[in-house]
Amino acid sequence: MLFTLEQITRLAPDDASLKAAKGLASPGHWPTLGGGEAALWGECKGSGAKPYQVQMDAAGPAFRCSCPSRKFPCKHGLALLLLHTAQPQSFAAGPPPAWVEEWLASRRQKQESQAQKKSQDAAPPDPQAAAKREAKRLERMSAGAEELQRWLLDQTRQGLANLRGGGVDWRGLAARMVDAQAPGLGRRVQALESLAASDEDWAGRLLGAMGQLQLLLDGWQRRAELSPPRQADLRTAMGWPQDKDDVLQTGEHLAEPWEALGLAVEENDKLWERRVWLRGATSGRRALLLDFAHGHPVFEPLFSIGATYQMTLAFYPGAWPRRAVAVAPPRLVANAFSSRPASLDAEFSLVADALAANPWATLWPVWLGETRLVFEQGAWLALIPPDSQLLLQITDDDAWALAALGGGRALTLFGEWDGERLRPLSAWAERLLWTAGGPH
Amino acid sequence: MQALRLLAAQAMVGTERQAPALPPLPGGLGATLAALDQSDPAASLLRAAGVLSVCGLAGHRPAPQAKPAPAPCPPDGLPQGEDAGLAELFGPVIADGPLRLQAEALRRLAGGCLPHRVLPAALDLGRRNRVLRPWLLPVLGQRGQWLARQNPDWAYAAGTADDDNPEDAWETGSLDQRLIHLRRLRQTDPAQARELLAQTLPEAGAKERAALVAALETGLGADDEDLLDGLLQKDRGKDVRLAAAALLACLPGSRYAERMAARVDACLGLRRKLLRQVLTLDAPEAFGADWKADGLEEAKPPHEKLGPRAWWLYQLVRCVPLPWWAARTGLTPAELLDWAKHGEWRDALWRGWLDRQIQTADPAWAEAFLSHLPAPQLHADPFRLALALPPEQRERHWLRCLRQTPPPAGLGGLLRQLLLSLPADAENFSADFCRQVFAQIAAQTQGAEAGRDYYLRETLTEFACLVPPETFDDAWGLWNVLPDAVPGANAAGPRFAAVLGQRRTLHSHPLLTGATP
Repeated sequence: MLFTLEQITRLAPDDASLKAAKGLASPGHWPTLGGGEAALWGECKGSGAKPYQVQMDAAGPAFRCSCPSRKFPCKHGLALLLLHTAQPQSFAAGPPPAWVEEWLASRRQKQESQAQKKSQDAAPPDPQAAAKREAKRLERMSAGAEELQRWLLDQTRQGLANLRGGGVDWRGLAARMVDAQAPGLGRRVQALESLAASDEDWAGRLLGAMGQLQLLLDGWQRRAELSPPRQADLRTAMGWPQDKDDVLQTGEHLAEPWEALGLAVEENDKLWERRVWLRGATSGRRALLLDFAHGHPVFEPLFSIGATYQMTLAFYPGAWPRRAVAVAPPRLVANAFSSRPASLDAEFSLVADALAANPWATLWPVWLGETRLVFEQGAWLALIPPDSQLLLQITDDDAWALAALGGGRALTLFGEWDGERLRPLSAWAERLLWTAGGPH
Repeated sequence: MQALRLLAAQAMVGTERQAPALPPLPGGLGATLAALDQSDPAASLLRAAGVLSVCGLAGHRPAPQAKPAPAPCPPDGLPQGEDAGLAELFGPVIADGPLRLQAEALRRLAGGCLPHRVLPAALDLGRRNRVLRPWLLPVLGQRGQWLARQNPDWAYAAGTADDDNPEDAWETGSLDQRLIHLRRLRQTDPAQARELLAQTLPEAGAKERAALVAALETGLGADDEDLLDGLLQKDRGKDVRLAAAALLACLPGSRYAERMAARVDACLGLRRKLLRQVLTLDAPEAFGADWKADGLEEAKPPHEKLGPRAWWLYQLVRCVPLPWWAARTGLTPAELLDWAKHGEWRDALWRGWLDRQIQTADPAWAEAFLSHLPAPQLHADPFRLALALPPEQRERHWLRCLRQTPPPAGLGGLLRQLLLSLPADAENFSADFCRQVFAQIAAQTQGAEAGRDYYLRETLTEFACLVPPETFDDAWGLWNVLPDAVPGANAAGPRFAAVLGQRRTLHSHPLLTGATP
C-alpha cells in the first residue's frame, strides 16, 4: 500500500475535494488504471468526451491531471490514491504509457539538474564568503533585537494599558523582525498580540511574555560569554536554527528503535509545519522531528503514530538537545509498543529540567497515564490521579471522538504542553485509540 | 504567578508614572530577583517579570481536581462498536448520506450498536433529524447512551433505555425513548400499554401528553375508546383533545364516530327524480352547540377557500369512518365520488373523504380516487393514494403513472414525486418494478427530451436507496449508459456510486443482520 486513508486525508486541499474523490474511487469510473509502488496512472471519465489523464509520482508525491481544476491535488488525483489503497489489484502492472513516461522522465530530469546544481553550489566552499554572510546576518539580527528592545522599554515606561485595544501595529513590528532575519522574534511579537487581546489575566500573562522576551534579548546581547550549546539555543529561539546538513555531519548521533508518540500538523499562512514526537525505546530520550512544507502538507517520511521505527537520529546542538533529523529513512520494526508513561510528577519534573537547561523552548512533550477526559462548563479537562487536572486545548470534534472511543476509561494520553494547556495528540487504551485530526 | 500579577497591576500605568516595587520573595527566586540590575526601572521590571514567568513555568503544579470523573461506560460486548470497517462505512453515511440511506443503515444495525467512532456525528444527526430517532436510539448501545449523558445537546438520547430493561426507558427515559417503548408495547400488549399511559398522563406536560396519546395509533382498538373519550372531554390541552378526537374518528363503532355520522346523516335526504329516489345533501345550516366539544372549529381559517357551511360539512365528513357511507347509502366509493362530483358540496365532500382516506389507507377508496384523477379540483397525490393498495397493485399503478405523457419535468420529475410520497422507512421496491423503471428511463434517454430532464440523475440517486440488492447491478449498468446529454453527470455521479457501494456493504457485512427492509 502506498498511502493510508489518513495520509490521503491530509493531502486533500479541502473536505469537498476529498468527498468528491471518494465518489470517484471505484473502478467503474476508470477505463484504464495502472502502476505500482513508484507511480500510478489512470483515465477517469468526466463530463467531456475525452477522459481525464491522471498521474501520480510517489516520489514527492507529485500529481498531474488534465482536468481544469485549480485545486491541488484535484479530486481525480486523490481518487486514484484512494482506489489504489482499497483495490490495488485493479491496477495493471507493466510499463507506463507514453503520456505518463514523458511526465515521469521530465520530473527525473528536473531532479537531476537540481541535484547537479546543488552539488555545484556546494562544490567551491568559500569559508571567507560564508563567514562574511554569517557576520552580515548577525548584524541584521542584532539591529532587529535593538529595535525590539527600545519598543519593549518604551511600552513598559508608558504602561501596559496602552497595549490593550487596537492602537498597536503588531503586524508591522513582527514583519520588521522577519525582515531583520529574526523570525523567532516575529513569532513572539505575534504571541504578545494575542495575549494582549485575551480575556483571563491578560496583563499578568502579557507581562510574563514580555519579561521572557527581555531575557532573550539580554541573552542575545551577551551571547559571546555563553557556552556553545546555549548559543545554539539562542540562535534557534531567534529563528536561525543550524543548517540541516551541518547537523547531519556534526550533530550527536543516536541509533535505536524510536517510538512514534504523537504528530501535529499546523498551517500558518500557507506554510505547513509537522512535528513528530519520538521516544527512544532503550534510552527513553525524547526527540522532535520538525519539518516544513510550502502550499501543501506533504511530508516525508510518513510516520504511523503508535509504531516503532529503527533509525539513526542526528540531534541539533543545544543545552537540552531535542530537535533531531533522521540520518537515513526509518525502518518500521513494530506496529505497536508496550512502554507506558511515568507519573505526572515525573513528567513535570522533566519539563522543569528541560526549562532549566533551555528557557527559550515553547512546547514540551507530556505523556500521561490513567487520564480521564471530562467536559465541564464548555471546557475539556484531563483528570490525572491522585488529584490533578489539566486544561486541554482540543477541538470539540476531536474531543467528542476521543470521548466516544474512550468511553470514560482511563487512557494514556500524549500531547504538547505550552505552559498553560495540554494539546492532546494521541491516546491509548489497551491499544492506540485516537490521534488528533484523524479521519472521523 | 501571584507575584507576576502584582507586578502587572503596577505596570498598567507605566514605570514613568509609578516606579515598580518588587515584592520581596524568599529563597532562590528572591535572591535572583534581588540580584537584578536596578538602574533602569523599566528594564528591571521586565527582567523581574521574565524571571517570575520562567520560574513559574518550571514550577508549574497542575490544579487539583474540581470534580470527580463520570463513571466509565459499562461494556456491552457488541462486536460492532470497535469494528474499524463498520466505522469506515457508517462515517460517510451518517455525515452526508441521503436520509433513506441513513434510515436503512440504522435499521440494518438492529440488535447491534453503532461503531463508537461515529457516535458523536450520529447523535448530532438525531438531534437535527427527529424522524431518524426511532431507529437511532435502539442502536446507540451502552456507549452511545453514556456519551449522550455527557453532552446537554444530546439529552434526547440520554435516558437509560436498553433492551434488557425496557421498563427503565419508560420510567427514566426521554420523551422519544418513552414513545418508542410505548409503540413497541402497543404491538404486543395494547392493554398494558394503555394502562401505562393512563398512569403517566396526570404527571405529564401538555406537549408530552399529546405526543404520548398520539402513539395509541399503534394497535388502536375499541378498548381504547373510554380513555380517549375521557381525554376529549376533560383534558385541558387543546392538542391532547385534538389527538384524542383524531383517533376516535378512526374507531368505526365509537360514540364519537357515531355522533359525527349522525350529524352528517342529518344533512342527507331523498328526492324523487322521475321514477327514482335520489340521494341529496345539504350542508349544515348552523354550527351545532355541542360540536365545539368534539374538536370542531366554527370559524374557518384565514386562507380557507370553502364557504362557512361547506367548512362545517368538510370537518364533519373528515371525522366519519369511510365504511359508514357504503352502509348508509348502499353506494360503492366510486359511485359516491360520482354522486358528489355533480352536487353542490363536491369540494367539501371530496376533501373530507380524501383526508379520511389518507388517515386510514382504505384500498377501495384509494382505487376510487385514483380512477377520478387527474381532477383539477382535487389536490391529491396519486402516488401517495396508491400507498393504500396492496404492494403489487401499488407498483402496477405507479408504473401506469410513470407511463403517462411525460410532463415538462420528464421522468425525473415523476420519480421525484413518487419518492416524496414515500415515508422515510418505506420498503424496497420489487426487483420487477425497478427493472421496468430502468427500461423506461433507458428508452426515454434515447429521445430528444433527455437533455431537459434536470431531475433525473439526482432522483436516481434517491431511487437507488430503495432498489433491492438483486438489482444493484442493473442500476449501475443503467447509470453508465445514460447519455452525456442527461444533465448532472458531474455533480450526481460520485453520490450515486457511493450510495450503491454503501448499500452493497450494508447488505453483505457479516455484522449487519438487522431487519431487511
